Amino acid sequence: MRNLSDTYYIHRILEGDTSCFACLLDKYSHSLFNLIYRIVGNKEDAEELTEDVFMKAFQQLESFEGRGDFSNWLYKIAYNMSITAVRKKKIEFLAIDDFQLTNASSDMLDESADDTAAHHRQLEWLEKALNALPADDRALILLFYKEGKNIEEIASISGLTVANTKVKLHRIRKKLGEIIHEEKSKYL
Amino acid sequence: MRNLENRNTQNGDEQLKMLFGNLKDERLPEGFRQRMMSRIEKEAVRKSRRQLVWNYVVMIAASLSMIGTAIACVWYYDLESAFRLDLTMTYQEKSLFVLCMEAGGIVLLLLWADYRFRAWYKKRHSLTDQ
Repeated sequence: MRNLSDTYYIHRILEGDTSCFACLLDKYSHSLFNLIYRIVGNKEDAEELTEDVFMKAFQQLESFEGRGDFSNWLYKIAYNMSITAVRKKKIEFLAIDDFQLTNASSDMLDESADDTAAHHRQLEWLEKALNALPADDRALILLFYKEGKNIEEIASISGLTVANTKVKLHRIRKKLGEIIHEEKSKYL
Repeated sequence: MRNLENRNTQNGDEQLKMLFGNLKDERLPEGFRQRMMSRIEKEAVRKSRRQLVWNYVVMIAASLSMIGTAIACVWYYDLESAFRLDLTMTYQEKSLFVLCMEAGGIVLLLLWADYRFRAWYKKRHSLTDQ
């Protein structure tokens, strides 16, 4: 199957060939589902939200009109819907005040962790740290590190300015470091 | 010292990237694709029906507005009496010509508006004329 661009599929869908939507679904459903799952923290909610995201994307495909990157546009819908869902549920998170942020060492992770057990521990700490973050912070950091989006793309997805995004990511990274550091000290 | 700090930050960043990349991904639920495409197909059918209804509404509204304008012109300019076979000539021929020109102008304006609207609609929905 040829790897055709999103714009081609969008034009075909707008001309009435709805089956082309399956190609976009195959391309983005897995990563979107995982992003949403990590934001909302619940598999059933994530499944429902993922369906709603794609449905909304299909309904508003005409308004997209090929402007900008389709992936970013789709992620923007996913981001907004996930954050709204979390806010509705008012999920509590562990608040970390800014003054608690120390100059956490950038080598927060054990550099010598070559063995599998240590690697699993680090993943566990990271998972805990992610779950402790507020949903929007979690979304931003995941977009950056997991989805590989750059600062400009994250800014357009989240609706923040580029400068704001940089600052936020820096703060989130520090927060992550603080939480991981705490987990690490509990372990040692 | 600053170089060392920058290098440490870069290393930490790379380690984080590596860890994030190794985070366990959840699998999509069974039958997600089929369910999703089924919903999309239903929505597409609903969308085309909505489009059809909207087309009829616009067509009827445009036709009614044209008829209404014509009736309003007849009533306002008292054209009914003007076109009666009344040889007493209550209206000057010149003013009748002006009245007809105005009515024709309104019709042309409506036809032009119809053409513009159709062109905008086609452009918006990326339809191709045969």
